[in-house]
Amino acid sequence: MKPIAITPRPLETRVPDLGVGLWAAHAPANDMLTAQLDALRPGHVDLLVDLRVDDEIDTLESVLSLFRGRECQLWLYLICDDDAPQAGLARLAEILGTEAEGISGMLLTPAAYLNSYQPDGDWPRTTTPAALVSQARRYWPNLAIGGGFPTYFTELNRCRPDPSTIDFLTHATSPIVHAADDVSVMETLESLPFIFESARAIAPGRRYRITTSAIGAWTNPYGKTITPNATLERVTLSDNDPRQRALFAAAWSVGYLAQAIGRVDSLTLSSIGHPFPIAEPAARYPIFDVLRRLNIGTGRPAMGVAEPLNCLAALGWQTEDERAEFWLANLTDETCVVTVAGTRYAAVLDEQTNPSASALRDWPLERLALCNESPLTLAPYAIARLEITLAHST
Amino acid sequence: MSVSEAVRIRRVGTPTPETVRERHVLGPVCFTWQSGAIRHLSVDGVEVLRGIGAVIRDANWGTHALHTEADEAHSSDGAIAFTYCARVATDGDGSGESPLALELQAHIDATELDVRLTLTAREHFVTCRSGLSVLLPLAGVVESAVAVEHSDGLVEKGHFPRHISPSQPFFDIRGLSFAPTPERTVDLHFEGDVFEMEDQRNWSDASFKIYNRPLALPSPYRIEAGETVTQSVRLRWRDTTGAAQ
Repeated sequence: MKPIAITPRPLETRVPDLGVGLWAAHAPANDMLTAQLDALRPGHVDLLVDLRVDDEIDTLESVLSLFRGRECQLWLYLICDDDAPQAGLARLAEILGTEAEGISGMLLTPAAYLNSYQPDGDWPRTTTPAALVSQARRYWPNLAIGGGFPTYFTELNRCRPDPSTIDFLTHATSPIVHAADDVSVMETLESLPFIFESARAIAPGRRYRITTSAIGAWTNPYGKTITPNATLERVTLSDNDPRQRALFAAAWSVGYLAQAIGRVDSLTLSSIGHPFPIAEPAARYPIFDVLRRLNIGTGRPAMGVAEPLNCLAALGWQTEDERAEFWLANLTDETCVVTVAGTRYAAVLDEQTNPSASALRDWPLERLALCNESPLTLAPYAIARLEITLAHST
Repeated sequence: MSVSEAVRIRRVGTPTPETVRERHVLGPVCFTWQSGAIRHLSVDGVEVLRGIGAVIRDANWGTHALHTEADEAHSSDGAIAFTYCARVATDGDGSGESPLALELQAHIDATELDVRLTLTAREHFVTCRSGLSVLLPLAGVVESAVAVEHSDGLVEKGHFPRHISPSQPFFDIRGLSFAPTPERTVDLHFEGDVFEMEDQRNWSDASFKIYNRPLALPSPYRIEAGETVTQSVRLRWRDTTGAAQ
């Protein structure tokens, strides 16, 4: 097999902020949550809270106290009552206070807007997202208030906020709305630059955050229910996609970040706990290891590749002068061989990696081995982390 | 190469293998055939079609699983003819009576692809959409000029949008021509229903979708017992480097 030659190159941009999602409805117990936060060290957490549910407000309070003193931003994605959102907001104001200390920003969404409507369809006549922005401004005059949706780009594209009224723009994506086979899911990465550019055009100059996205779908805006999928098949619109547990989701996430670099300000991938877990009590999923290490790149000068790649994702960041951390993910179910210019050390996460390596002290991606520029074999959906030396000139 | 269940679980989280993607080459034409669909059709290395196949939706826009009854390919004289027969499964294992049977025939050679779909309702069948779905790729298509022929024969000239369109970019499509590269023009022709286009990038699909039955019509609708629905799509690609056509 002839190796694919890859030449890393610096980009004129930085790695976006990276974080993880958390659903108040599914938050793990505090000790488990703390353990995962400590190991993952995300730059931020996007917490989804349905203000119509008392238990979720209780969870919000306990998450707030757990975050106190932690170097991790907390962004609130709030679902509000359609007819009488004031009660939920007033309750939240009691908890947060006027300064909303410890909160980096919030998005408020009327529950009816979790459903999708055709552009010329029958839209809800209840509270609008715009009305919630002005209500939130009265409670929290100094807080960043967002426009957009905790669901998919489609919903944002069909109900665009007035950019002058918002501090940031946000939405998620799910690759299994229409098709769930492996090739179709991986191909969705190709559409992301178009989504990012189209969203930017809706609110130019505003901070742009992709909120919690993963292979699954946490809600179905287009029908009555999500697909339960207890038997772990590849099905559309499910919150239980089997690939979340596998190398596939890790490779897809590397591909997502590669597309997001230079195009978004903030990216949130997968969640602690349901619906897009990165671990279960007995085992860590490959995506945990990958996100944990990628978090280190946040804000660093970004790296890309000189040549177009269609079966691989590539990204990286400069660590110091003439050194960089560089990542590759095989996006296909076929083995490929690569040579990366400037490679010194490499660590690979693939199907041969011991799946029982779930102890929090054992991180296969930290085990760099001397590689120099010898060919690197990437099994299906394998991920490689490299330490490279940057060439001064060519 | 067969892959053990354990390795498959490490890769994709499920022991269930996907149906085989058969790769075919006809001179300059490459494509895959998978479960009754043509995918990734390229000519001289340029993708002209992301996919075409039958999509059967239920009354809630869910997609019905299909149980394959026949899947055959016959090659002759630089052409391949596929016949795919399936039935809609209304229970988990597909053993029960099926309300709808489908037969898809695809014929492809070095210059064109013809796909014909026949649906036969054994009992009345409630669906939001049942028919052929054509996916166009993004590279070479986004922003390119397109001529859309409507059912009254009038031709609308426009462009595939760059920014993602919140509503359908084109309605009432009988024919469509675009050039993914300056050297090649692709012509599509639709029969059997009114087709329209959706900008599927909205949902992060890497395609523009052309589907049957306008969204403006009531849904779900019924295909009556005994009714037969026939649709066809023809896709041609022509070299437009020379002056003569």
